[in-house]
Amino acid sequence: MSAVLEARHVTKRFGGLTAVDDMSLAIPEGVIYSVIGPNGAGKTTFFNCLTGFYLPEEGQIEFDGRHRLDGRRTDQITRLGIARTYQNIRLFPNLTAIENILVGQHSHLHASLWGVIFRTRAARREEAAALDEACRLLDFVGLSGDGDVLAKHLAYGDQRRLEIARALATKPKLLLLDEPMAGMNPAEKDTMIAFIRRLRDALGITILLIEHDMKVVMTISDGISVMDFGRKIAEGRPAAIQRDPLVIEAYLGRGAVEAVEAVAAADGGADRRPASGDRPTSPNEA
Amino acid sequence: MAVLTPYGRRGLIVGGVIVFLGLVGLLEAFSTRSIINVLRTAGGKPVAVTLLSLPELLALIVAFVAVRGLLPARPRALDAFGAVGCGAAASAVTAAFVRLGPALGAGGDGFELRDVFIHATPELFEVLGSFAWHLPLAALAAVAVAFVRPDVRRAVTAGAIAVALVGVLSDHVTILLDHNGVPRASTAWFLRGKSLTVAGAATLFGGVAALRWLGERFRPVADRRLAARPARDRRWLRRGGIALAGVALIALPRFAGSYHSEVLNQVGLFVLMGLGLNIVVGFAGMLDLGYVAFFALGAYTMGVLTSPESFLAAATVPGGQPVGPVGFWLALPVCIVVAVIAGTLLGVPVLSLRGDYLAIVTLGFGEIIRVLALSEWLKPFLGGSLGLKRIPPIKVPWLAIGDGCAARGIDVPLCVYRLAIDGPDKPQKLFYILLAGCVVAAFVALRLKDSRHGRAWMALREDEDVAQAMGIDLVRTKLMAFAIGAAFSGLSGAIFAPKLVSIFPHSFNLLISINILALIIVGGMGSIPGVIVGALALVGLPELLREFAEYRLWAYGIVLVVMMLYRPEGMIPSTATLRELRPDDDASPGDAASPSPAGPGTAVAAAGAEARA
Repeated sequence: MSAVLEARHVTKRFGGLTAVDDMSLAIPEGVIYSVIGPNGAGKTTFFNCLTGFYLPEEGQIEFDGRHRLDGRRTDQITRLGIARTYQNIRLFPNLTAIENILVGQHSHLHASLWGVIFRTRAARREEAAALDEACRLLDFVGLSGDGDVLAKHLAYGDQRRLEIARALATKPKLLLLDEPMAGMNPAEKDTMIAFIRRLRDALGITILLIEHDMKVVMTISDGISVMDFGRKIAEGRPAAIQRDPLVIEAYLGRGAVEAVEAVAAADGGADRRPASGDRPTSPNEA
Repeated sequence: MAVLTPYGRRGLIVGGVIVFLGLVGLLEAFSTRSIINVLRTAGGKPVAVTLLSLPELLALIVAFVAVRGLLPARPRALDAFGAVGCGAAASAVTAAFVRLGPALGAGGDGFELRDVFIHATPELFEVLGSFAWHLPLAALAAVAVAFVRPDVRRAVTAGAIAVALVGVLSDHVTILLDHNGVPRASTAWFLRGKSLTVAGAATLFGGVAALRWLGERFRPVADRRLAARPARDRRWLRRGGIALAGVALIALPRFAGSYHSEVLNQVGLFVLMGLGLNIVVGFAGMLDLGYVAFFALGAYTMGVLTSPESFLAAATVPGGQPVGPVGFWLALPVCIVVAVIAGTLLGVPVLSLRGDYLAIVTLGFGEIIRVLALSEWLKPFLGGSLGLKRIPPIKVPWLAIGDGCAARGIDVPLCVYRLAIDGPDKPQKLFYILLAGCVVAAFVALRLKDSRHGRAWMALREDEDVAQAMGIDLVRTKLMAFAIGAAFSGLSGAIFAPKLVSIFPHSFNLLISINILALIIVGGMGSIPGVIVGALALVGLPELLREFAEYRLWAYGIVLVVMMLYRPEGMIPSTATLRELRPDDDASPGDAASPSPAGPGTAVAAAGAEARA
């Protein structure tokens, strides 16, 4: 299996703080891959490096075996086929649900200024097709009927799903989901797990996920990388990660390594910090 | 008793505000405007006596709004009592001022109220005294309004606004009626002197209120009936409406006459600029405070190209041929291109700036253009503070045919020209040019709004980072907004120059930028009808209320503050386009998508269907 995304020795510093430190990662095509780690471990910063929001100081990122991502602008990276959602939902609040999705389709629409003003045949057809696909996407995420509702008026869970629909509208090969289950109850999480699997199975999209809920991560992931202090401390299949002493130490502190079984049973233990609390957090994960 | 304290306090404030309005001279300036008058016999002769004057109306409005803000949704008896007390307190303050004010000025002990407030004249005390004790009426009205049903309340409000507007502008109504040959005798029951009669006011109030109420009552029914009709019928209905509006607009200058056409032209210039700035600020969310720069560039380019006095007219091409001034229609595209280029050039350095920083830089840009036009350095080309003169009026070929025919005594059949026939250089003709410009600009803005470009702008406004993450090229999108916005402003400037014949740097000051921004905010950010209404309210109305000119900026400030507090979305808010349930759409997606069965959406749709199954 070829790697759809390969990051090599990516380092991002903010002043004296190294938020992402020599991070390497290879994500095979068609998997659901998770990045986990305590708060402030640099996961979101790493996402921001992948999507071009931050320019990493060192390292290379390669997409699809052909394209170098580091140094490209965010919109160029999106056009290559990487889409993302945000930890704290960032929809366009004053646009309707349909319009949010249509914005996502932007780079696949080509109507020129003149085409739009004179509403040429091509422009009209393209717009109608775009609208059609937006309606289908809306239906796909289970929001049909809410298309003309302003995004800010949607329920929280619906906003999450709309954000994914908007990301899908860019027709990504790789979808980065930043804590898609934050603030959901167990039933909603189960639905979301099924939904994410559907994205992979039905649309063939590779998924890279940041998630804190251990149960979710262990259920859904084909592969996991664990970050702490900006570094990758472990990598492997879920079962291996659960037993990794470094991971247990990162989550539960020194001395907890013996209690391996306890970790396996722990839900939502991700938020626990090591004993010392004086560690700076990266600006993006404050 | 504790319930009543806020009412009393509010009453004192209202009284203070009314006295303040008087002291700055606003009430006195308006004292000649009567809204409703009655006939009284004095010494055997009938005399029109003002029943309600504009100063009184203003005071009543202030009191009404103040009381209304305090009243709970369901007032109790004590609240009603408090409200009237509030009015009484306001009246007491006003009356005390009327009583004590003159004494302050006439004491002869070295202090004169008029030394500080030059408007504290005997006339002011007379004006204030005429209605000082009427303020509890406004409070009563506020209490009454709290009890009526919302639909009735809206109808009453609409009626009251109509009476106030027609009453205040009754001198203009008289002029318009005269211009259109309506005999005064036939409107005497409605208008007397420069004011409405009681019967006229009652009819107007009743008519407008009834229309508003009926409209609200039957609108849903009509909408439902209309929705039941096939889409083709609806489209024809809409086209019919547009055609009707078009005919009305074309006929407008004929009925408006020369002066009011001039006012409309002024409004038109600002509508054009407003539509352009609306793209930059309303759609793309980039606060541009130097928008006047493009207006100036358009005007100066037009001036330089067409004035026989400009340096260009005197210059010669290498072959020795004089360049000479060019005509308006040849210069017009050049003006727009110059504005577009300037818009793009301004866009480049401010690409990475957001919010306040962008506003400051554009503010500077606007001033730079003005200072350049004023500079000694460019004086040989732009005339410095003396400006450019003798810019020839616009010649419209189509209307010129009419002129030619009229000159030869040929009777022109009913055509557009006939509607405007009045002579060669009348503002009526300029109106058509501005109308055409505004229609084009509104059309372009409307089309762009519901396109991928418009959506990219709005995404930019909502969240720049996410917009970029959606694949939107920020550089292109921002520059496009600046360039199109500049084009409209350049067009406006190009029409402004021949309209005024001479242009001076001081015509292009910061106030114009602020004016346009204010009309967008008042009309409704991002709303195209809002721009037109905003321009009518903030440019047209002050133009009609000439004595108001001094208080124009002052009123802008108040209007903006009040709008931000009570109606931040503007008079006609921008509405979201309904897309999922398209009531009428020219291109139905079904027939457009069907020729491409393997379109990009099918994979997703198939997946969706599969997942649901």
